Amino acid sequence: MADRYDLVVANARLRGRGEALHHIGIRGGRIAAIEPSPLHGDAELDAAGNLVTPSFVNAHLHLDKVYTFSMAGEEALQAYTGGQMGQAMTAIELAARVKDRYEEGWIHRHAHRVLLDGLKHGVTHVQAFADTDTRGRLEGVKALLRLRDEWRGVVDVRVVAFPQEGVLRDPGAEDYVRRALEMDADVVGGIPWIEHTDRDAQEHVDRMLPWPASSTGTWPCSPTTRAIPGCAPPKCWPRRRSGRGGPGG
Amino acid sequence: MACHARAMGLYPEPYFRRLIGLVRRAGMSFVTDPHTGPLHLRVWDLLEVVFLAAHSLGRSTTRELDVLLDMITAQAARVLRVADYGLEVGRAAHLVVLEGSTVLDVITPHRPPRYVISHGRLVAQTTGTTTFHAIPTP
Repeated sequence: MADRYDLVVANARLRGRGEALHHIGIRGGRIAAIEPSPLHGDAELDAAGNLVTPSFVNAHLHLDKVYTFSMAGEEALQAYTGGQMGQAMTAIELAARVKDRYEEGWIHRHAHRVLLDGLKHGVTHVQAFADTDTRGRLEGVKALLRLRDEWRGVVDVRVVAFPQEGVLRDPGAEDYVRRALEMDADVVGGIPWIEHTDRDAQEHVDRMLPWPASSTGTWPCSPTTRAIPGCAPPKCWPRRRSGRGGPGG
Repeated sequence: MACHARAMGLYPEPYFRRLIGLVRRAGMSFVTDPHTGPLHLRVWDLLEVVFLAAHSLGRSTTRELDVLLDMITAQAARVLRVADYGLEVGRAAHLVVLEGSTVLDVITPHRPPRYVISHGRLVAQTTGTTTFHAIPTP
């Protein structure tokens, strides 16, 4: 066999390719071959007829809030899972208590643990939200940005600066979001419904979606898409400051 | 993209359909509330999310399970616009060797993958063995 690979995954069952087993050759971090006949590699892993798929992508994880269950209290949980959307607001308010204790150190420790847990379960891509407001300040963003850089090449983490408490309801949050972008956060989030009126919700979108040109990572949004939360021009991960995360929370 | 979007569950059908039309036109995508159960535990285990979704949504045919598996792989990557993703020659090598030879076999026990490969490197390996003692012989 002329071709030699860095790593070969042998005897893989692949979706959409019938019953036959395939062999996957990897070179330079990329899939270089998928063949029905055996391949040779410096290292080989035997899939032994098991299903092989692309690894898992978690598009939404509040990584700054993991392992805070005991800190948030049962009351918050009950409000969120009570089945009534009306209580979502109550849940957010109760959960916000935790943020008064936000500190980069423990958030980083908790989040690191969850990335490990995730990796064990096949998660290699995470879009991670960090509350970025006057209560959470920049503690979550700092922790997750550090984590993102430490884990580069193993788990791809995209950090969303997310004004969970609202932009108009929480004066000062916008400034924290701006600073998060200057610190190289990847995405701006928003949560329009949390504002007091529909007009304020629109204002929230207008402020978060087309970020003012004076800040870094600007995104021109056309007038027609401007009013639609989360509508962003296509960009590809892992380009930094690449897109606009839509409403979340 | 819109995340959670839980209020949509309360919208009257005609309003909901009108909204979906608008969303389509705008090219928006959704990340729905994951079915992590009321305790929000194990939010890192996406196969368990699939398992729970299969039950809560009543999805059990091969085709339906395929769709659910797509939601934590290809579809999620599409929503996040992850470059270079997918099991094809030329793409970045982000792979999992799962436990089970069919989607149903994988989802039912939803064990951790045997191997996890990221950027072409082995980054996680799980072996699980149970040893029985003092069991009756058949």
